[in-house]
Amino acid sequence: MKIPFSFSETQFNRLFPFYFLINRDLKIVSTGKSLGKLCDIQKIINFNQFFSIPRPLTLINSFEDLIALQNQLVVMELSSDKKLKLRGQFEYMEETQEILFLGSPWFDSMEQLRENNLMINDFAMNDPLIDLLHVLKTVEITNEDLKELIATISNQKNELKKANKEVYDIALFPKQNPDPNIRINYQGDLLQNNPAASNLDFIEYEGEIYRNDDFFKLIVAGIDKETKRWSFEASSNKIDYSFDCVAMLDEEYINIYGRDITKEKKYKQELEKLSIIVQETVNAVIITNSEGNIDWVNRAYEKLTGYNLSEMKGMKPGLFVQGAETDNETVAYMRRQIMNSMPFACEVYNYTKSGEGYWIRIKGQPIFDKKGNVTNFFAIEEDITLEKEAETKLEKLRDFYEKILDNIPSDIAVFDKEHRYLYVNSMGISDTKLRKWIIGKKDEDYIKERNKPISILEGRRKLFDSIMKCKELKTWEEELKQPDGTSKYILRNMYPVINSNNEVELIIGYGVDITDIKNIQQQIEESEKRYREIIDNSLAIITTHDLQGRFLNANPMICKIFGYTDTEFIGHSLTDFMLDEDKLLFKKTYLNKIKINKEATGIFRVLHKNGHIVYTLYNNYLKEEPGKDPYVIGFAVDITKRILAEKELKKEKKVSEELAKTKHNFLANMSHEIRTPMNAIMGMSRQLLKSNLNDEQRIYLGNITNASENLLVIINDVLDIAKLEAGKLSFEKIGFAPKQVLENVMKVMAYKAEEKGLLLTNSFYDKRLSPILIGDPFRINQIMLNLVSNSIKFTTVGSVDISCNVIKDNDTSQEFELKVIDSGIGMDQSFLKDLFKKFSQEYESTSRKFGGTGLGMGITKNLIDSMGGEILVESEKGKGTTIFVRFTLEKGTELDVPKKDTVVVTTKNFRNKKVLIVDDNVMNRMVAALILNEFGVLVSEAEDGEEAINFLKNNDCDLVLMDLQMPVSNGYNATEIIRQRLKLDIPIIALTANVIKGEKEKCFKVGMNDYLSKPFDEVQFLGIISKWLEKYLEK
Amino acid sequence: MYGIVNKAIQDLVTDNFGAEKWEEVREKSGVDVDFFLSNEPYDDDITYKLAGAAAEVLNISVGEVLNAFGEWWVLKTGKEKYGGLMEAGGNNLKEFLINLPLFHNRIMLMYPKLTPPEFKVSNIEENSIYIHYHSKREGLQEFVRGLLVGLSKMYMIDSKIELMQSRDDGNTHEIFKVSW
Repeated sequence: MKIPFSFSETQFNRLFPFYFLINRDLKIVSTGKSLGKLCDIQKIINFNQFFSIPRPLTLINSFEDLIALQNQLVVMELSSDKKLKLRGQFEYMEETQEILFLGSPWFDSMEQLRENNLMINDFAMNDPLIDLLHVLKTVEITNEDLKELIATISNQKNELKKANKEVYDIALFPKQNPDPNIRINYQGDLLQNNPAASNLDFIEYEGEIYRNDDFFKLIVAGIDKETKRWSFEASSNKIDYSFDCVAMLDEEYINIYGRDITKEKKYKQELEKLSIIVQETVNAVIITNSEGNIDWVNRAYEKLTGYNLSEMKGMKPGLFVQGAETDNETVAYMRRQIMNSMPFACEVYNYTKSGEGYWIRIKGQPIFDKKGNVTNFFAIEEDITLEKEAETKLEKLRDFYEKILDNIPSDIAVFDKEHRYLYVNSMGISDTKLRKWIIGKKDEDYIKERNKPISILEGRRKLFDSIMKCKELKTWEEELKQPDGTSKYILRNMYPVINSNNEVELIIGYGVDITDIKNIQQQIEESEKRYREIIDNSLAIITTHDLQGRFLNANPMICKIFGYTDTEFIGHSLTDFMLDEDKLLFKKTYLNKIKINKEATGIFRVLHKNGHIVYTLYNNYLKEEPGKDPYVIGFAVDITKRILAEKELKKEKKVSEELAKTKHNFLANMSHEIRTPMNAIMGMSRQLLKSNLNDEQRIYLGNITNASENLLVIINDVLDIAKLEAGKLSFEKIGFAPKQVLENVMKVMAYKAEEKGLLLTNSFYDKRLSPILIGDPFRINQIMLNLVSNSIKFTTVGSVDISCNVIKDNDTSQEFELKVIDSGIGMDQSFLKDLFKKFSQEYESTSRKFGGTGLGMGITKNLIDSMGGEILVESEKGKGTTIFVRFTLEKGTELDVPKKDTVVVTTKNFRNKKVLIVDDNVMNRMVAALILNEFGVLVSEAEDGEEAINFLKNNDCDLVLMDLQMPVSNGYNATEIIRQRLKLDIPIIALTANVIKGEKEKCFKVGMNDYLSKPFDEVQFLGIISKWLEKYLEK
Repeated sequence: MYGIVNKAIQDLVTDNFGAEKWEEVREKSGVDVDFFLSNEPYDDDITYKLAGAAAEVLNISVGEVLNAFGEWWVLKTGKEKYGGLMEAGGNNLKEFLINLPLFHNRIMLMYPKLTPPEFKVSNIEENSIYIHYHSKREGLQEFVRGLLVGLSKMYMIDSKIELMQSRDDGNTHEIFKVSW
């Protein structure tokens, strides 16, 4: 038969992807595409090398062995690790003498497929292996499901068994219940009952006896279907039951639960009996539960309180009956007892419903059950309001009397006939405990108790016995020594209270503390003594006299001072000891005055027994006491010495005042007398300097000028001191430029420093310093010149520096500091403290070496003090000195600076002008004339005022220079005459050496135009003359 | 549908939300079956009721439930119970999807009481493929989408699934385009 079809290799591979072809040498010559995935086919040379055939178990030794396996299901095993099985069949191909294997791998599970790296596509579509594996998986899943299902069912079975057991156990409850449980339907038919219920054959209900089936019908007949629960009582077999019926509408039956209440009923009956008794008792009865909440009250309680049981049930009684005056402590006590399950008894004030208060006596006790637990509290309350009221009244009365007795400032004790204490007040014994204790006791008991000396006892007993006997009041004083050493005095009284049978019923004793009285008496005595001693020993004369002036009393001083004895004074009038002239005034200036003013002070001149006058300063008072004649108490002291001393002092004062005046005059004269020749010396020297001199002459003249300048400084210092002491130095208060002042000082001192080869510097000038300050620039200038010149004077090598610093800058004022530092000889600390004393220089040798009066620093300090400033000095011997001067001055503006007449010396107008020089000193006239002559002035001279007047009467004149102090007619007089009599208005300029305060004013007053002090500065001199000449000529 | 589907829904809910939630879903669905046997066919209605109830209890849409269920079916049920089979389905997503029709055709034989859907593939490209879904059942599109998402996740591929046509629009079947 011809094979009707053939396959290409691809087709064959699709149909049998796991085929392989073996030749006669058992070599594999061709394989399917999927077989290659199972083993490394390239390496396969021999069939046996890779395959074995377990079924049918065949050893392949030759090609024929394979042929023999034709027409059989062959299971092959791959001889790799996996022992993979192939299932299929062999076919011998005669034509090619080859054997073809057709089949596919056999797997137990789908997982193996993947383990061998095969996919669905590796299998032929016709190969059912995949589907078989799938079915296998499905079976596996089904098995898993079944296992799970069985486990679930087994669980459920166990749960069911458990539930069955529970149901069974629950069912035992009613079965084992000794009380009857019955279930009936709504027709009254018995459906089920428990064993206990099966005994209820006959039931007694409301007096009738029923068979049980009739009974249930009866019960059902009467019920309302809406009622879910109800109960009734019935009895059977002598047992009382309470039946609780529960309607189960859905199930259409009724469960009836019976309960044996036989005992309960009996108990209840007994309780009812008791209850009636309690209910009807007159005392209020209350029963609470263990927490104290009301369970029950009887009628008497309701009546007492006004509340009904229904209102109070379940509540605390306190809520109703307690009120404002209920004692909290008592309430707390009851609460405590109740809490501790203890009985209690107390009295308490309560309130009725309508608010009326009442007192009750309450006795409560707990009621315990068999286990000893409190089930209830039971209390009986008795109304004791009336009793309490009576008690209160009595108590009040007792309080009232006790209060009186306690407040009497006396110790009171009441005894019975046996000397036993019946009462002691708090004054008697303050200790309340002891006071209570002693009632009913005797003194013996007290003494024993308090350990007191027995001696007290005897005295008291004796006294007591005697009062018992004589039945009369006894009074005595007792002194009690106190622990602090003082004494207490008691006035004791004891008296019997006698009854109508003339028997002693009580003895009352009381003591009054008279310590104070005693003490006062003593004090009075002592003070009287003391005053007497004071008066007797007084240095003042102390007397009394009547309104006529007659002595009533006098202390011993009167004898001492005036030399009379007591008897010589007493009874005599004051006037008897007075000077005749004073006697006349006595009544008017003394007696009348003291009667009106009640007191008088003054001096009496009293005649001593030896005839001297004694001055006594008196201070007398009028004493007016009702019922007594008025009298005068006088105190007087001897002031004779003082009066005499005062007289002396007055005399001395007059002398010293005169001396001061002399000194002032002396100074004025000195000033004039020294300045006048100084003017001549300095003026002449200046003139001489202008002339032709040789060098030697020039040096000598220079020395004269220096010496005279120094002398002028000294004179000025002396004058300043004098003026400062006399308070005659005046200070300006004008606007000035501080910078200018400093610059001036620098300028003036520069040459002095230069002379000594010193450096004078101004290292710091504070720019904050106000451009204008208000004060005395001349004095500041003077101070600075003094300080700087001192520094220069005491410095030989180095420098002197001035600095200026603002310390405090306020809105309107500034505090600033001027500092002068030198590298001079310095000062010892010991000297520093005397620095500002007048006439002091460190060593005499210093004075000799450096010159000076030693007044400079004193003046400087004085000036600074007067200007409200301060000066401080720091100095170290050999190192130098620093002086700090501080001022606080007001700030000013340009407006505060006085307009200064600029001194413009225009000497061209001088020529041919006529000037009269009036001076008694020829030198002075010469100095002035020499200067003026230089400028072509026509100078005339006069020696005194009169001469000047005469000259002016007859000659023309453009200006007069007028000295002030001149013989014949002085400058003032002359000027007055020139102005008033000659009616000349030519300028008159005062030239004076008098630089004393007030001089200038005096000059202007008499009509002078200006003022120039001698010795004068030439420029200044020319300036004034030029100014006035111009003014005059303008006219 | 076979019990394995309902069981898978039960597992999905229990694993993710707890046994109590499952009880709630079951009670809500009104399905009175305590135990689903995997290889027993159950009325399709049961599956729909369970999916509906799950959506209600979990407060998500039925679509979302089905979607989640599709994923779950591949990643949990498929892997746990048919792990080998799934793995043998292809070396990668594309291969698997190409084999999908063959896969389902075999299933029809194995589960005679099952009316399995039929899948066809077309437009096989390097990075996308069209999956044609033919089913007698209505409203399981989202389940299919979930399956496709699950498969992508199984092969750890980030894919995009687009519904190209649907029976809702009057077509004979659904076509999903899976691109990766």
